[in-house]
Amino acid sequence: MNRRLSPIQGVLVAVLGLGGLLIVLPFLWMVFTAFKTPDDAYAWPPTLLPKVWIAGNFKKLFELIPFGQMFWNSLWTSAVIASFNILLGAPAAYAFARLRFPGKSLWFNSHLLSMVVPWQITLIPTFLLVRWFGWVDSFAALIVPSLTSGYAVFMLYQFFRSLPRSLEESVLMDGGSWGTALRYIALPLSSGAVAAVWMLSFLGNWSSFVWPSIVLNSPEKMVLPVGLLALQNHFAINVPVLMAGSALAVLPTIVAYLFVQRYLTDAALSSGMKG
Amino acid sequence: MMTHQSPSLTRPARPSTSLRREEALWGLLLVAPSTLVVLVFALLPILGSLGVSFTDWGGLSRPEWVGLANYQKALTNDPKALRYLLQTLIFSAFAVPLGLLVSLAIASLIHNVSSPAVRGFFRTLYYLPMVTVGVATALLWQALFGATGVNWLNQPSTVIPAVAFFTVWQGAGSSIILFLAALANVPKELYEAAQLDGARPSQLFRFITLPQISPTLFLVLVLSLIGSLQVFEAILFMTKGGPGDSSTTIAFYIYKSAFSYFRMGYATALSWLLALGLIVLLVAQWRLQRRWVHYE
Repeated sequence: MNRRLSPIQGVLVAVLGLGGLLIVLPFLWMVFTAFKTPDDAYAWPPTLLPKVWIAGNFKKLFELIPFGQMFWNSLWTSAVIASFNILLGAPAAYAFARLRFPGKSLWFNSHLLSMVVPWQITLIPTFLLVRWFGWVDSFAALIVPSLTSGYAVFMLYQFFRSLPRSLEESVLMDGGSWGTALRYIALPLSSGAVAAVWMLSFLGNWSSFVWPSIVLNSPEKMVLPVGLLALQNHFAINVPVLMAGSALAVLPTIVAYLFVQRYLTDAALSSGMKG
Repeated sequence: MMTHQSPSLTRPARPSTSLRREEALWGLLLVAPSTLVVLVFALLPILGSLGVSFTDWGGLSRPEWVGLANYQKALTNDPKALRYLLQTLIFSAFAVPLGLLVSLAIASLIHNVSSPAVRGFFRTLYYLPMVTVGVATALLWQALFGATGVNWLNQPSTVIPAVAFFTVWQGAGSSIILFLAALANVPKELYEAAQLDGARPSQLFRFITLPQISPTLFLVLVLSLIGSLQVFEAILFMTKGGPGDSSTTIAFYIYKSAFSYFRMGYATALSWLLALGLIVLLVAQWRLQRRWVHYE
């Protein structure tokens, strides 16, 4: 019996498809509205497709705010932070998963604590610290406090624990160090997980708002989410221009997600939430 | 990096002292950079915020020690804080059950699709809003509410459910993948045995699926409660706490106290009270779970 053709399966897929429209349609509306004239966007009854396709909203977007600069700032700072999260997080996660050393549970629990403490508690003192270092309105303020991430360490820790020990043990038996075992055995085996954690960290920083809005002031240092929200309050703003900005901010994340989605949801699963 | 004795030559039953020392050194070396950042930028601020919460301080002037006055004010003498707490609870009362029901329903539907490719497609699709930019999707839904003539965000009586709907739309994906993993782990034999005994699908769900996935149900409940009681960004992006202050939540009030009113001491005291409330809730949940969560 071919179960795929059964009526129950048809109903399941139809219901899920209808629900899926609730996710797809808003994104489509966002993209199409970015090409509408203001009259068209505010027309009643609302339509999905533009009556006349115009590209002027994107031009206006780049006139109102330094969108290209903001996009670039978000891109490179998120990439740098995500890379450091791996660079610092993978060795730490590996040590927590495999090695015995003094203070291990204390250091591990410190990482967990940094994950669960509400951000409101640490926000103001972290700002004071950054101000004391003289980093206000510099990219250092954005990057340095996020060099490591409790989420990244925890997700990689979960993954390393799931690897078989035998290969690493053979390295150690042959006189290799723990560094060799990490570099040549554990890391190559975890490339999928590392990519997923990198991407989750990148996406998290790409959309992060509160911290950059507090430590960065100059327009030329602004990141994308902060610039977008500022746009909302701009006197010359209208819905099509807002949607043009939103679409340009969202589309790269969707493309990146589709590339690594299989690993991504598995990694997110291991931490129980989004990183 | 050379050791005096090659481990492959000696093969001790227990690791030798030098091997254990090497392991300890490697361990410390590997965790040091990450731990240093955590200590400076997470643990130090936690201690610092405890100190700040005992002061009256505008951010630039010298902080003035006021003891427990901030806590006292928040608990006994701030009608606003009480109202915003109530609004936060109302928000949770919408967002948590809605999120739980929607994500469990979608996960159950996806789980029962027989084709793995179609299952994967829907899993990818429903997780999609999780990876997009919060500001952008908030602006999108704000515009959508406007374009379709649904003015829920502009009315005090409907603004909280409207934001709750948005947060469920944005965040259901993470609960869905947790439920999908739990559903996949329910042993098939349980269903087969019950079906032989003539159980209906609704009975299978009630007496097999629900008890079997109850640990995940509990986890999702706790995570979404914690998240919804701290709801902040959706409020900031969509309503700024308005109209009036009808959608101001505790977390948004904390943010405004610190960065609009420059009452750093009071804002941090409120943060600690919120955190304490969350901890109490967690402990209570943990105790209650024994009555309905089934662990193997």
